Amino acid sequence: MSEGEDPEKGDPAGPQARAGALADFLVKASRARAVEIETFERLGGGAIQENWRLVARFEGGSRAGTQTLVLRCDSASGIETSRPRWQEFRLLRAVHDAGVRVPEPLWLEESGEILGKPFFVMSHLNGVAGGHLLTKAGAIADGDALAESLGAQLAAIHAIGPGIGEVDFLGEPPTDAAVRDILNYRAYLDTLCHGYPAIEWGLRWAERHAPSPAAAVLVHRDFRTGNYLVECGEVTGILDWEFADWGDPMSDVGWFCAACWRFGRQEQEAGGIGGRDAFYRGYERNSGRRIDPERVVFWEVMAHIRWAVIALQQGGRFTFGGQSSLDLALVGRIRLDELCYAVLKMTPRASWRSP
Amino acid sequence: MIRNGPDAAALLRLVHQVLRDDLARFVPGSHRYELLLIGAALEIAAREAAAGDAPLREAHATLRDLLGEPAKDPPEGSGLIEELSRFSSKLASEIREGKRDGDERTHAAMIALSELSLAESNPKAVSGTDTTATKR
Repeated sequence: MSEGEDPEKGDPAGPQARAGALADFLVKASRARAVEIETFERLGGGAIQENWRLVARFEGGSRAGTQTLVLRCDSASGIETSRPRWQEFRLLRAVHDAGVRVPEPLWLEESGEILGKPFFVMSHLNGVAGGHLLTKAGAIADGDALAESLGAQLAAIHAIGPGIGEVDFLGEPPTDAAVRDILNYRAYLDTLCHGYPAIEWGLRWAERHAPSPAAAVLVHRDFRTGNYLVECGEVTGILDWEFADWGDPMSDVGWFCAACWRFGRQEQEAGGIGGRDAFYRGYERNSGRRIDPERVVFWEVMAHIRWAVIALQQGGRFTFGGQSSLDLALVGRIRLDELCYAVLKMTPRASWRSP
Repeated sequence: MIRNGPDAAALLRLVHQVLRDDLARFVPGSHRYELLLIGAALEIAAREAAAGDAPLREAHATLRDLLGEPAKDPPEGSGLIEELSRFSSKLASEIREGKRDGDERTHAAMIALSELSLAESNPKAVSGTDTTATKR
């Protein structure tokens, strides 16, 4: 599932090693007379993608003046379900046009000729994204207000339905997103050298308890604390669109509220930062949809299963993919155990309906 | 050969202690996360070294009984891992085929297996809150 490190894929020193070629690209893209890149800084997070903050001075053109930008490209390896940069760029453009708070997508370089791999450039937004920082007691003055505003942002994303030309590469929406996901996870498990009974138990529970299919909308598929920026208690941007797809809107609600994404603050059921009611209120007011708590419970179980499958993939990048990363190794060892345990605790006999 | 003490588990604990108590203050804040990861890895390795094969043998017995496999002593070394792998795959298949739907005994056995794994990887997780799907 994971790709091994590819020495041809890019310079390990990062984009500053190609500063001249990158400046030339920015000149052409912005129609500036000249561009000087003053600083490069690797931003935190991003096991699958790299994000670099650039401060660049543009002489003339569409972005004249000193600009702080973010360059996003693949890291040494990704996972198969991660979308290529050109698709992420177009997704970002679609949601930006729809009024979702996201960095403004500016320029895409698809050929790989400049950095050895495709990248795109977007505006830089201020704020803190780190899940452990945002969920620390006292980090957010009004967690419910933040949760409500995140609910509103999610509603804006879910207002996008099939038929938008910008994201036609997403293809036909699934008739049943839950069944699609269950089949995908099983197909992945079938590639492994032995079975995972706890994940299979969760998947069988999901198969037996899947809700009736919902009309598919654009779902972020990684809408959680850690993937949005907050400044002074306000959401400044929703990040990381590499997994977006058509799906059941409640899958994003379940992912956001799942216990595994609360960073240890279990009492704050909305992403570890606020109350579930506030998040639901923001979502319902802005989407016109009613949240059915039973559907959300289903998608919270699915969230743990999905994260467990991702943990397996990330552990595989260490064990079989030749990536000597302590982070990946421990996700495969610790996080997988925790998630399997959580799946089992959520699905005891009492939670199974009679056939 | 006679191995002189300290054993592997004690050495790993000592390394972790030196890292945490003596060296951590020299590590810049930007590498604090890596330091935490190293600490977690050393703790797992120490617990695994101390436990030896005992958790694997316990898992083997749990799965053997659950699957109705013949009662016999588990094989040694890599044979034990191979048999555990075979048992896990068999149980996983039966679950997928719907032969264990909501079965209390299966669920209890898997919880026990899960707790065995967490006893090495993250013992604190076992005492976590109840997240049962029916409780919301």
